[in-house]
Amino acid sequence: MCEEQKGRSIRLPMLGEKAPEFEAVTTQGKLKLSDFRGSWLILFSHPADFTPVCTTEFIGFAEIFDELQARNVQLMGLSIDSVYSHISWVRNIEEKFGMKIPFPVIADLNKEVASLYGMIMPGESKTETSRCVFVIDPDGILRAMVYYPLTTGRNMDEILRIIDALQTTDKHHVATPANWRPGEPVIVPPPPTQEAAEERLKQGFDCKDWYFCKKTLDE
Amino acid sequence: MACISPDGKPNLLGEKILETAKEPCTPEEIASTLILPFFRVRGGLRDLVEAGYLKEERGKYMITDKGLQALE
Repeated sequence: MCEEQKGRSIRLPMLGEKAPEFEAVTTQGKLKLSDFRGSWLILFSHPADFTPVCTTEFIGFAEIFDELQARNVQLMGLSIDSVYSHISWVRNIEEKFGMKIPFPVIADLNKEVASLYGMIMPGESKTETSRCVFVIDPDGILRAMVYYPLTTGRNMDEILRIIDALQTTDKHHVATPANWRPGEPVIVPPPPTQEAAEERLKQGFDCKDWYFCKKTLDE
Repeated sequence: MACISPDGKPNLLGEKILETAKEPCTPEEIASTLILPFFRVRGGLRDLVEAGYLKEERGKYMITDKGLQALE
């Protein structure tokens, strides 16, 4: 998991670790990753401005912006384009599609942030970032990473679902099953000891066996 | 720069932050007053401090003489 950058080897970020700090020029001025502490952050990359799939994604991200705000989540985009290209593109999206882009977009012309986070997949393109999503929690810990190829636009429902799942996990100390949606039963973490396993079946959860128990959250 | 124009003067957002910081205030108070996300306030405060328009003491930000002159 190493990336060569300017002759030196850097280790790519991994889940559960501090997301690497950076300072970058964005469409909303120079920002540091640490400026987002206290909020969740979805840092995402796109291949290039003025391309059709990326345009649909930016509209998609803008459409879920209010829902993300309600969950204390900020958004920040990135591509290897200039800030003037970004400004021109987001203005074009507003003009042609009627959608204002309310989040900052990093102009990563020197590929510094893209390299730091491993957003460039040389097998796909050496000059463009792939469709990467990094979910960073309010303490700056990298909590989820999702990578899509250049050809496949991301699913905004899944972005929201990941946020809901992570926030539910943090709040209730549970896990979430496949295809989970808010309001559905969650997984009670498996008991760590034989004694706890015997107790688990008496605790009133919906259990198939000692290791597979679900419960419904109260809220 | 989030709050500084290319000519080195505060932009509209910078002026709003400077107005708010005529009384010492925290980033949280500025964000609340201006209804802005924290990250924008933090980036803006950094710019304004570096340019000498604001000073920070014990977590509170206060406009400087240079900042007051910029608002005139």
